Amino acid sequence: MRSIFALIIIALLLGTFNTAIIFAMNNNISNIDNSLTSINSKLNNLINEISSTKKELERFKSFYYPIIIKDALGRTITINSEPMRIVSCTPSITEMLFALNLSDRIVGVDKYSNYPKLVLELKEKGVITEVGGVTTLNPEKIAYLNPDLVLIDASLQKKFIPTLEGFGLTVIALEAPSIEEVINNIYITSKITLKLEEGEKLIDQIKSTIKEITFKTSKVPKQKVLFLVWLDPLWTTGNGTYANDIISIVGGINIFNDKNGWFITNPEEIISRNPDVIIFSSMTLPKSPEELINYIKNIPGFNEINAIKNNRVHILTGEAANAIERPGPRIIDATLLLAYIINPEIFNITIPNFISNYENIIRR
Amino acid sequence: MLTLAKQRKIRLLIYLSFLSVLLFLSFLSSLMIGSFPLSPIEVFENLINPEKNKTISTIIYNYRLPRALFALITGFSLGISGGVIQSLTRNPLADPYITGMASGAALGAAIAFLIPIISIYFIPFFAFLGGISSILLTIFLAKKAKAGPIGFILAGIAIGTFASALLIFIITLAQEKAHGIIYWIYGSFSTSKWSDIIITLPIVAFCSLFLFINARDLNILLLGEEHASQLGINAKRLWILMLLISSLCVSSCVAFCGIIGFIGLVAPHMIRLILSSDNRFVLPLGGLTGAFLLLLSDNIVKSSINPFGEMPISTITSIMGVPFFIYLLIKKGGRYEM
Repeated sequence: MRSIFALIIIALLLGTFNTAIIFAMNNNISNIDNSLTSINSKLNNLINEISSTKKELERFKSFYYPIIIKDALGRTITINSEPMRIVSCTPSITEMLFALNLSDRIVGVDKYSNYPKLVLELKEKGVITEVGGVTTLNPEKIAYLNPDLVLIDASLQKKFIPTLEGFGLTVIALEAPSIEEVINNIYITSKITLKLEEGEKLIDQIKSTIKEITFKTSKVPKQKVLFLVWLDPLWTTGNGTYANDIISIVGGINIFNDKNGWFITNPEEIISRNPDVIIFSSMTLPKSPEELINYIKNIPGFNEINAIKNNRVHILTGEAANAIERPGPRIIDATLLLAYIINPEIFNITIPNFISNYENIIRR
Repeated sequence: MLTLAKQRKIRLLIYLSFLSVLLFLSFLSSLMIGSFPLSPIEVFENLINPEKNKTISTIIYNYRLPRALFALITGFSLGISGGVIQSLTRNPLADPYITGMASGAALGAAIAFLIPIISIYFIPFFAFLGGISSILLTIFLAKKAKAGPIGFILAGIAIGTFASALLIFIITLAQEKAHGIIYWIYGSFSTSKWSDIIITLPIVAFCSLFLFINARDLNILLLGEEHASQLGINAKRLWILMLLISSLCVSSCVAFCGIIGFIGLVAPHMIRLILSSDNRFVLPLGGLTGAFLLLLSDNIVKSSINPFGEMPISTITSIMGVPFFIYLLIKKGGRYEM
């Protein structure tokens, strides 16, 4: 009876604390976005949930499993015991597992998982097996590894679920089209793998980074940003993508935020929207960075665009592109990197036009 | 009672004035339609005084104007070449596509596009090589088959299909660059630039001039080789020369805008059915009609942008072209002469 009372009191206290933080942030940041408010409250809620789960755990350690969770596809999944052999099917999930200190439990990853560098080493040593490309998974190979947890992408790898479950595997679909979902994934994963300490730490880090950056960048006028992932034709993003989300919390405004998802645009449209910054992000570059910057500058009529006039065209490739395009724990890196690119004067930094390895830029 | 010649003259005048009004309207609307719509007044103001609004004039001069002009040039060249090829093969169904010419040109251009050292300015040259070689191959096959005009069409279909298959094969191999190519293969003016016009316009001007001058001889050629030689025309030489020139005309455009169907079939037939099948009318007026039809199609394409970009222009030209052609064929089929 006493313990239940204690739990209720703790929950109440945390709730008040939570509201206080939101209030404090509202006072600090005058023109805070709706999306930002929801991200912040989500962060706070999750930290609360993790804390209460931790408390629960201390008391009922032996009753923790089985836990029942709902995955991104709305399926109800029961985890019967602590997962010890995990297969990750996308690079961002792999990055998350490493960030949660689960590297010793990973037995398989997809072909494109290459971060942190330790993955490559473990792959070479044969500790971790490759289980196919993101859209070309090999379910038999996964089953052969005899994992007790398979983490897949909800939209790209949905089609593999029946086969994988046919092998008797526990499959959880994750999806991360937004910052909130990234954090939610970290929460779910830390909860089912009993890495609550690590999960809490990571979410807390994300929270403080976002808070610091949004606070600093909210004091200056928003910069209009064009985010490109392909040049011929010009592919860009509208609302509702991870890149758009991050741009909007670091003092930028995506010039196409009135549209949805990824789409092809044209130079006319870009000229009429006149971006202040142009970011081209691609894992591999079709030409050298200098050639690409020249290509963008020489698109007819682009000399009228602010970004070109002020030499603010940035080419991101390799790790820099991965950090921004993979919705995972590197959200911290992506937030810092984009904040520095979009608002360099706030952070007193000169950003190069071509960025591949970004570590030296964000860890100053 | 008007004489037949006079009737024809009046009809010609009516058609010409009608066409010029339509051409003007579609040209104006092509400058108005785009990512953000402009009013006719804004278009005129910024055409006359580019300093008025830098953004608008940049867009008009760099994108809308070259795009409209290139669509006109391409439509013109397709209209003329279609008329020539129909006469040469004495087959109303022939056009630059059926003869394998366009697919060959596209194949040539695609090869050039994928070889990194080849400058973009040589792409029309490769397209021309592809177009010429596929039509020469078609001629050779037709001769071997000894099946006359029908054999020519069949050979053209064989070569065209083969070229298209090779094209898709190459595209599949070149995944990295495929984005750009696939888009261009199905026809689009979205990337038209002034440099395309500078390269294409002289070629099309030269070719159409040559074809206009020889339009009378083309009429005689229609009567048959024997007849033509009796009238002192080197039928074989003229036949091949006209084929090469019309192929050059089409290839230079295909190289920049991709494959566009049906304009070459419909435009000259419209003139034949409405006015006369005299090639001296069919070629220039067919060219103008083709120019109008293609610009109109491009306007429709431009106003239908979706997240995956614009739809291929061939979609519109076929949807517009086929029913219209069927209508004319049924309605005026009795007076169809070739």
